[in-house]
Amino acid sequence: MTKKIRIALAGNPNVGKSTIFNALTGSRQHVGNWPGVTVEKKSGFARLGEYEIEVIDLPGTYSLTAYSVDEVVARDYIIDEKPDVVVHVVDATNFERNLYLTTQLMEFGVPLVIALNMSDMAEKNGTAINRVMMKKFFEIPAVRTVGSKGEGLDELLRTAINEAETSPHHEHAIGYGDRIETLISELVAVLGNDPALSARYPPRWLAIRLLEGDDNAREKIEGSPVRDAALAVLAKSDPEETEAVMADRRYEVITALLPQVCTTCVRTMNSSDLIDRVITNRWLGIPIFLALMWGAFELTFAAATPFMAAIELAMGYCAELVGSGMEPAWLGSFLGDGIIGGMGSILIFIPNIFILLFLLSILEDSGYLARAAFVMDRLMYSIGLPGKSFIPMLIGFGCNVPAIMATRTIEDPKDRLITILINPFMSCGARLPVYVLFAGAFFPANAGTVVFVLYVLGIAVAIGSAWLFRKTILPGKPAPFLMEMPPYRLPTLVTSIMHMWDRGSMYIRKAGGVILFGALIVWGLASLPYGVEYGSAESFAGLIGHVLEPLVAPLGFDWKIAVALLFGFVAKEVVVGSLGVLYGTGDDGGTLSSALLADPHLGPVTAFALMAFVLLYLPCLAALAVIKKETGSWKWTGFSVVYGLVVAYTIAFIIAHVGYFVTGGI
Amino acid sequence: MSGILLPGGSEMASRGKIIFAALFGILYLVFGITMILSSVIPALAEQTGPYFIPVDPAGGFVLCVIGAVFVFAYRELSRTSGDGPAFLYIGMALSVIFGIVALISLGAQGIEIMIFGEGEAWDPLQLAVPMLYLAFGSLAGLSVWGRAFLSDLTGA
Repeated sequence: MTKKIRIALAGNPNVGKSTIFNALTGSRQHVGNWPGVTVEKKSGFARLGEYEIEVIDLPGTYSLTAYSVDEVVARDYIIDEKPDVVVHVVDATNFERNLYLTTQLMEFGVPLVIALNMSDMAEKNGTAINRVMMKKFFEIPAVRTVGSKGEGLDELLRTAINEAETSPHHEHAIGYGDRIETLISELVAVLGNDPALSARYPPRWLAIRLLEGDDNAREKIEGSPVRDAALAVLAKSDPEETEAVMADRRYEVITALLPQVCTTCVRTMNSSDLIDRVITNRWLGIPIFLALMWGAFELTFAAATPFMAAIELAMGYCAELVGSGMEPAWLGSFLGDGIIGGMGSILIFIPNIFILLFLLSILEDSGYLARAAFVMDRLMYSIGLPGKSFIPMLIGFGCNVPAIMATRTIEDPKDRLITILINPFMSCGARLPVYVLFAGAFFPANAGTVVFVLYVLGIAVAIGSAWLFRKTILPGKPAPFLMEMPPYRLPTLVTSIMHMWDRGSMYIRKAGGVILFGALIVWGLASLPYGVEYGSAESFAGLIGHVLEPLVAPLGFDWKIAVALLFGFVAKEVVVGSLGVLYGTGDDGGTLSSALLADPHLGPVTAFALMAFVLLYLPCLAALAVIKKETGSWKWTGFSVVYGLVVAYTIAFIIAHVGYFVTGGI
Repeated sequence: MSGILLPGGSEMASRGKIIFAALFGILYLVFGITMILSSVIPALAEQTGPYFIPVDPAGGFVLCVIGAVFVFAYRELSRTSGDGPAFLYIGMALSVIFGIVALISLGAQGIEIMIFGEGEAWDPLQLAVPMLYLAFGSLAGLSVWGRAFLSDLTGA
C-alpha cells in the first residue's frame, strides 16, 4: 500500500532549492500561483519505496518575518498546511548566513531536515560541516547534498520520511532572556485561552511574532476573545527594540554553535571587515559618504577644466570659421547657431560627465556603494523607505532610466512605487552640463561645492518626498534591508574606464542624436518666420517664450530660459543646447558662459534657482516612458510630472526670493 | 577582541599610533573648523589667509570628517580596542584620498591657467592647502604601518 507524505522545501534565495526540487520531482511538476498573490507555486511528486512524496517548493526567503509576500507565503504554508517535514536547503558554502532562517524554522516546532547543498563546493573550499555534531546541538538531521549532480537526494528523502514517521519530535526553543521570556510566557498563557487559535498557530511562535510587532501576526488575533488581553501584554514592550534583541539572540546562538559544528566556517577578521567598522559606523558613516561625494564632484568640476578649455577653444575656432561671412547667411546661421551653438555647448561638458562616471565606477568597483546603501538604510527606514531603494537612487546619479528599471529588485509594491516616484529627483548625468555651465559662470570659486549641494538637494527632496508619500498616499511599513556586502577591492584602471565608457558613450550618442535634433528645432523656431531677427522676441521661439514667461517670471527666469526649460523635457542636456542656440554663441566664437554673465536678468541667485528647477522639474521623456512601463499606470506617470513641477516651482521660488532678500541682488 | 586576527595587530597599542591619531585628529579638526568659520567671519579669514588656510566651508567639512575618524582612532587605540587600527588606517586613507583630490583639483586649475590663461600667472603656492599638506603625514603613516592592511585588501 502506498504511503503519502508531504515535504516543503524552504531556504534562502540562490541556495539551489529549485535544483533539488527539479531533481526530486523530474517531470512530475505542477506550476501555478499561491492563492491570492502572484508568487509562483511549484509542487511535484517523488517516489521512494512505498512512499509517494509530495514536494512543495516554497519561495526563497532570508527570514520568516512578514515584510515581503514571499515570507508570508512561506510561513503561512508551514503553519496552515502543516507539511509532514520541512527540508531547509542550506548553501554549505555560506553556512553561517543560512542558519538565521534555521533558527526561525525551529520556532515553528515542525519536523526539520537540513540539506547541506553545494557540499562539493564547500568541501573544495575547505569547509567541513560535522553532521553528527549538528544533530547533537541542533537536534536536526543534516544530509550532504549536491543538487546539480543529484547526490544525496535519496538519503534526503529517507531522512525526511524518518523524521515524519518515526523520529521523536523535538521542540526547539531559543531563550530570549528573562524580560522577553516573561512576556512570551504571559502571551502563551493568554493565547492558550483561545483553543481554536492555539490549535492553529504554535502559541510560542505566535507570541514571539506578536512581540516582534508583526502586523500579519496581529491580524491573526483580531476577532479572538483573547485579543484585548494579548494587546495588554504587548503594551509592556517596544516591538522594534524587542525585535532587535531577539535577532541579536538568534545570532548569539549561531555564533556559539557554529564552531561546534564547523570549525572552518568561523571567519577571521580581514581588512574588509575592519574597513566596514569605520565606513558603516553609526556616527561617521553618513559624514564619510557626504565627504566622498563632495570629493567626486569637486574632481568632476576641477579636473575637467583643462579639457573643457581645449574643447571650448576648438568650438570657438569652428564658430569663427562658419561665422566669418559664410554664404548663404542662413547656412552660416544653421551651422554656427544651430549645430555649433547647440551641440557644441553640450560637447564641452563631456569631460565632466566622463570624470563623474569614472569616479562613480571606482566607488562601485571598490565595494563602497553597497556600503553607502547600508549606511543610508537607517535614515531611509526611519522615513519609510527600505535601504534597498538607495541602490536605484545611486544608479540614478548616472541615468534615471536604468535606475527606475532597477527598482524591480524591490519586492513590496508600495516600496517600489515610492522608489520609482522619487528617482527622478536623483540628479542624473544629463543635468550635469546645466550645473557646470551655471555654477562655473556664477560661482567660479566654489563651483564644485555648488554642484555637490545640488546633488544633496536632490537626495534630500527624494527622501522628503518618500516620507510624504508614506505618510499620505502610500502608507505602510518598509521591508527590512538584507544585502550581501561584496569584499572591498582596489579597483583596476581598465575596469573603471570600461564602466565609464559603457555609461558615458550614451551621452556622445545623445549629443549627435536627440540633443542635435532638439537644438535644430530651437534654431528653426528662433529663425522663423522668415525675415525676423534671429532669436528675437518676434521669432517663434520668442513668441513661445513670451507666452510661458509669466509662469516662470516669479522665479526670475526670462523667455529664453522658459524656452530652454520647455525643450529640456526631451532631455535635460537640451536646456544647455537650447540656451547655446538662443544666445547665439555659435556664430561669434563667444562662450555661453560669458553670454549668460552679460545677461542682466541673470545673477548668482537666479542661476542657483534655475539649477534647482532643472534638477527637480520633470523626468525626461525617456524616464517618463520607463515610469509608465514600470508602474503600468498613466495616473502615476502623470502624478510624477505634476508633483515634480510643483516641487521644483516651490523650491526655486523659495531659493529665488530668500536669495534676493538675503543678498540684495539677483 | 582576543582571537580576532587584526592586520598590523602586533603594533596595535603602540604609543606612536596613539600620538599620531591624537595629533592628526586635532590638526584636521582645527583646520577644518577654521575653514568653516572663516566663511562666516571675514575677520578670521583675513588672519588665517596668510597661513595657507583658505575660506572653504565644504573643504572644512571634509577635514572635520577626517579629524573625527582620527579622534575615534585615538579613543579606540587608547582602549586597546581591536577597532582602533581600523579607524587609524581609514583616517589615513581618507586623508591621502582627499590629498589626491586637492592635488588634482588645484593642479588642473594650474594647467588650465598655464596653457589657456591669457596673460595669467599661476602661483604654485596655491597648492599649499591643508587638505594637501596634511596628507603627507598620513602618507608617511600608511607607509610605516599600513602595509599589512593594504596587502590584505589587495588580496581580498
